[in-house]
Amino acid sequence: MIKISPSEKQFLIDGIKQNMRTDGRSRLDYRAFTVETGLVAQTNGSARVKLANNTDVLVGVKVEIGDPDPDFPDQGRLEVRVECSPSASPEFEGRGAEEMNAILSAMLRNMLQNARTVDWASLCISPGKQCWIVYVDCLVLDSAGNLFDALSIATKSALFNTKVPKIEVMETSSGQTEIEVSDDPSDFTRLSTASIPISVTLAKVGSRYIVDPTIEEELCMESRVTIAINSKGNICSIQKGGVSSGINPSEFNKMLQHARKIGLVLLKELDALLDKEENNDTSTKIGFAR
Amino acid sequence: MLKSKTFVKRTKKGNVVKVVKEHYLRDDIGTGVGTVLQAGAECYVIPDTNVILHQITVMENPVITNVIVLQTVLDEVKNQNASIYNRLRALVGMQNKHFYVFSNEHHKETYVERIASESPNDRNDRAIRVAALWYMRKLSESKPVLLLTNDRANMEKAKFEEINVKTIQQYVRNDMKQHPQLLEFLNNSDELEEDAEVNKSQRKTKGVLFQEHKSEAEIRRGLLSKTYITGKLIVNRNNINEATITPDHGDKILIKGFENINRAINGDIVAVELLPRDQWTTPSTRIAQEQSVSSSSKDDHEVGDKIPTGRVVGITKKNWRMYCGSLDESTNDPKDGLVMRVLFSPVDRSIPKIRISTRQCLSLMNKRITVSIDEWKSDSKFPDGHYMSTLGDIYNTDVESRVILLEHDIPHYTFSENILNCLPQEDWKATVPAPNRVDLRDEYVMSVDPPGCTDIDDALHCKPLPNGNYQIGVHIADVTHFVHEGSPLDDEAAKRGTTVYLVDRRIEMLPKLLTNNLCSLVSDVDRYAFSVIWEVDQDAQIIDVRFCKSVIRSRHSLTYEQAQNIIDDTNRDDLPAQALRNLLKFSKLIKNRRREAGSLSLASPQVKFDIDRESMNPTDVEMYQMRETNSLVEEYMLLANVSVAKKILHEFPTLACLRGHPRPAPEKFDQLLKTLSTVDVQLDTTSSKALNDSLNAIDHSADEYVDTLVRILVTRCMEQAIYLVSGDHEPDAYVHYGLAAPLYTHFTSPIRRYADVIVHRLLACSLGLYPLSKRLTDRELARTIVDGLNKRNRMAQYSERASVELYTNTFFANRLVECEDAYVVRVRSNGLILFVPRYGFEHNVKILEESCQYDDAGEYMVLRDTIKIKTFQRVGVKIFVNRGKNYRRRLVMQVVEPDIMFAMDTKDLTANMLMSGTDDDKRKEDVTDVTGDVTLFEKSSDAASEPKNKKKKRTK
Repeated sequence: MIKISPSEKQFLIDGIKQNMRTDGRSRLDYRAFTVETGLVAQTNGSARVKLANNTDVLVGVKVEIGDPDPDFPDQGRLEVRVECSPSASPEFEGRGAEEMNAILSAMLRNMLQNARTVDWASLCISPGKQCWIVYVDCLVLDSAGNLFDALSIATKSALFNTKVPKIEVMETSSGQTEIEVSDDPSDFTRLSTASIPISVTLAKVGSRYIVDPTIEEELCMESRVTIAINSKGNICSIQKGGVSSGINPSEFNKMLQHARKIGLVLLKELDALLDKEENNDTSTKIGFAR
Repeated sequence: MLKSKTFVKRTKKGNVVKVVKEHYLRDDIGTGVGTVLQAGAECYVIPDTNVILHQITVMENPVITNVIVLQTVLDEVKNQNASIYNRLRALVGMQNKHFYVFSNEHHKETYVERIASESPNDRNDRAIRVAALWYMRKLSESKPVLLLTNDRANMEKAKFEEINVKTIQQYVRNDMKQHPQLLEFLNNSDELEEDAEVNKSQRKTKGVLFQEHKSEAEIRRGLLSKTYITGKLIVNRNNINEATITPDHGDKILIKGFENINRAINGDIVAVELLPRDQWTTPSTRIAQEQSVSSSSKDDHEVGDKIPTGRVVGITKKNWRMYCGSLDESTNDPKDGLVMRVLFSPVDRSIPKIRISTRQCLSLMNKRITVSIDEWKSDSKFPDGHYMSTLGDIYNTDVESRVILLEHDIPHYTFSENILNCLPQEDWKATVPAPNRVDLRDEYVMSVDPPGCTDIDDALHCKPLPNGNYQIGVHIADVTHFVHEGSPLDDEAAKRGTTVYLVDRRIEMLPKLLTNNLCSLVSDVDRYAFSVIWEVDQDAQIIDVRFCKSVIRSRHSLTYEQAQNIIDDTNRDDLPAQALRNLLKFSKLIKNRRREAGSLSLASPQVKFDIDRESMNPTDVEMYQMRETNSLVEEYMLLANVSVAKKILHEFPTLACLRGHPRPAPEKFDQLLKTLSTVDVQLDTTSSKALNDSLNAIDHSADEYVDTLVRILVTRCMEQAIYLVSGDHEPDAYVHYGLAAPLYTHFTSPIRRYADVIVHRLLACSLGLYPLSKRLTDRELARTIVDGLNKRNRMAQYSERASVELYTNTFFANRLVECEDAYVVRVRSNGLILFVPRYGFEHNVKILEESCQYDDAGEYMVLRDTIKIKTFQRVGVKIFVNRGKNYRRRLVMQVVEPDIMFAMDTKDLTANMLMSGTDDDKRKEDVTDVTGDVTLFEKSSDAASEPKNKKKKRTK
């Protein structure tokens, strides 16, 4: 665990009180972020998101055919795995990343595994027998705070980028299914990603709250609320974390309002970025070289 | 420059995965064609994939040179047709053909990426055009480039891009006018309409004769939903309009009528749709007239149970090959110099006639030629093909023997340069002492073989030991000393699998230098050998066995006769006589033990032809004679094989190459037992021992030959012996039923069998002489090799039989045998199956059903209320050759004693023969050659086993 000195902590808290954060942002300013898609050739979709060049996450999406969840036989399946690379932070060395990995994957899974986010039914191939399994593999390359939001943006981008091979399903008399793949690699379907939410994380530092905390700010925060907002401005999930005893309901209300506002802006910005990425000639991309 | 190729594929398990491969592009690949056009050609030719696939025979013609083969084309050909790919590869390898391969897929300027919505074919066509353009830019005006394509769209695009482009027909007819012979080879099936010169007028549009084949996807779907069934089509040799498939699971399906066979050819893998149950029918018992295109099943004679009947809806894998045959004998007014469309009649009766166009019709009459099929259109009664080569005159035994070799796919070309390069010097001498080799030159080693044998692969010695026991050694030519694993020589030997013995020739597995010289254990020369040495006691019980590589010096190369004479000569008591007598004594003991264990003594007729050296025509036929010494040698070979099998299986439980002979299924005996019961012969088929005992108990006092006949018939109920890799089978499968040996392998004839070569290597490894190589431990490879060996062996047997048949026919072509003894082997409702001991063959005699009463239960027939014919009866027959349609010679047999000529069916002597019985004929085929191990000899020496005798008898 990284530690900061009490005086530095005090400095940060005092700054936030005065609406002046160490990197020059005000309390409700979000860091600039960049999105790249289609970087990992082996995946069906991939995206890399950087928050102010410091927090750096890479998400790869692979789709494969497999057995559906017995509880939801007519839906596709989602598998989320987050791995915090030891290179991102010393605290991720050894088994240190395990807890973080678990927290982050649970959060992402919660956000995505909602019947309304992705049209899971469209990923069903043969009810009860076969479906597409969507593997979302996230890799945290560098951490400078707010992994939650970075991962949610990257995941949405990677799913947006995902191309599911077009298949033709034949039902045989014996009840088995046979799958045929189109030989044209440009023949694919996209996932409906419009209603996938992104998260906005608010951190309570001292008596104030801020968005998009840096890693130092995370060390000072008492509690954290991660709120998933979809493009309609609806709140899809809320998760509270952190060490403090709780948040006052009226304050919480205000936080929600702020999150909603910021989320909508971010979503709009992200959509524009993704559209731009998509229209780029991706065939010239080779690996991470740009 | 790096590119990646991405595609989506379906895995075997049914998953769909994205595959990304790196693809490197270079900019430093040259044109590869040198500075001048070679061999006087006028331009470089770039054929597209279909031109190669359809016109490979044209491409193979020596006048076609300076061809640029693009990698795109090469890859596509490889995917579509492996055999054409190999032929193309061979062309590229030929110096004087000047074929060049250009890696256009890896050249920066000629690599094209598939555009969205472009089909793979369009993309490849584009790649070919881009490469053609590149060549046009790179080569000067004086070296023009010509793109050959028969695809209309491609051609138009090429013209638009100003590429010099022609169809193959335009090219051959106009540019290669000076080589009219090319027209013979031209496949015009894909001709663009505007080019068609003769065909259109000649080929009247007939009504569609066949249903169109279903598409690949439809077939696949149909197979999955089980509406279609797939299997290999086996056409009835006696009735080309009837075929069957035997699916992996389920019963045999009959396909009757040529519309229902729907252009499938014998050996094709087809998809079949079952007909409604009320249209099911029975296999015909009559023969259809040769290739009459009569509508399907209007069979006059339907007996027995109806079996599932279907029709072919598509062909998933074509088994088209090159066919030997002749132009239809009845071709009207053959002329040379004029393109004539004529029918070609294949030798193989399960193949339909093929229509070809030729300018040399007259010269091809009465010749054996080879033809390949190009396509079979749905409005055409016959497949279209083209002429490939002329083999020679019909009935010439040399030509006909080559036909046999080609039809059985036996590699019989001379060994190539790089194979001969693997051979040691001709004056190679054994060096002594050699590492890891025991010097056994002091042992009194002798070989016993047929007269004139040049490839002596085994020799024996026997000497008393001080302790009262005896030492017996079997020395086998050390072929693996010369044939190194993985060398071209080794690969070739593996491919050939076995030496093939036809009546008039021997197609050797290894070059002559090895077989007749360096490996052959001739007398008075030091030779390397692989020895098996036993210590046996007075009762021939094995006390000890050891194996070693050795150097031997054979003292005598004896013939069976000489050896027999030495043994019989009471005046002789020298070393060789003592050794031979001891060997004989022990061999009898060993044989008795084997017999008691249940080893079968079966019989199969074997004949020997005396051949006139000049004309190569047979002058006499006789049964092969056996001596005591034959079985002497054989006994030790069996013993050596068994000992080696134990050793290698013990050392390498999963890798040993064994020879198994499955126990025959009990139902295989059903028909035989029924027939035998009508003549009061009982057989106990519960085990090989019981079978052997009951065979020995047969009462043959009435007629001596009955015993042999029964043994011959039992032989036919046997399964085929096969090579197997021990790791692939349960230990139960190792058993050799015929020899009653729990383990058996082939070790003793490495000169002429590849299995022995593998076994030699395994044995050498087990002795620690060599480390176990990667190739030997590769079970997948071992399995492929062993499967190949089994196939080659089967083919060798078929061809040997075909060769005997050829010589039998030639023999009888010039003579008429008025009355020869024959035995009735089986009585059927419309004929008799007779066996002629003197000539060792079996034949059918057709009897008019209306003139006889047939008793089904007793299996006998009565003619004119007085003449009764039953199984095993001896009759007199007249034998002669009848020349049927299309140069087919058929042996005809007529019963003259008792005189039942009135009941003979003589009206269609030209037609095939009698009593088809769909699977009956096939069964006969499958079993006559049962094993190769269980060969059968004359009554006196009823040993079962090593085909050693078989081989040597024909060695002249």
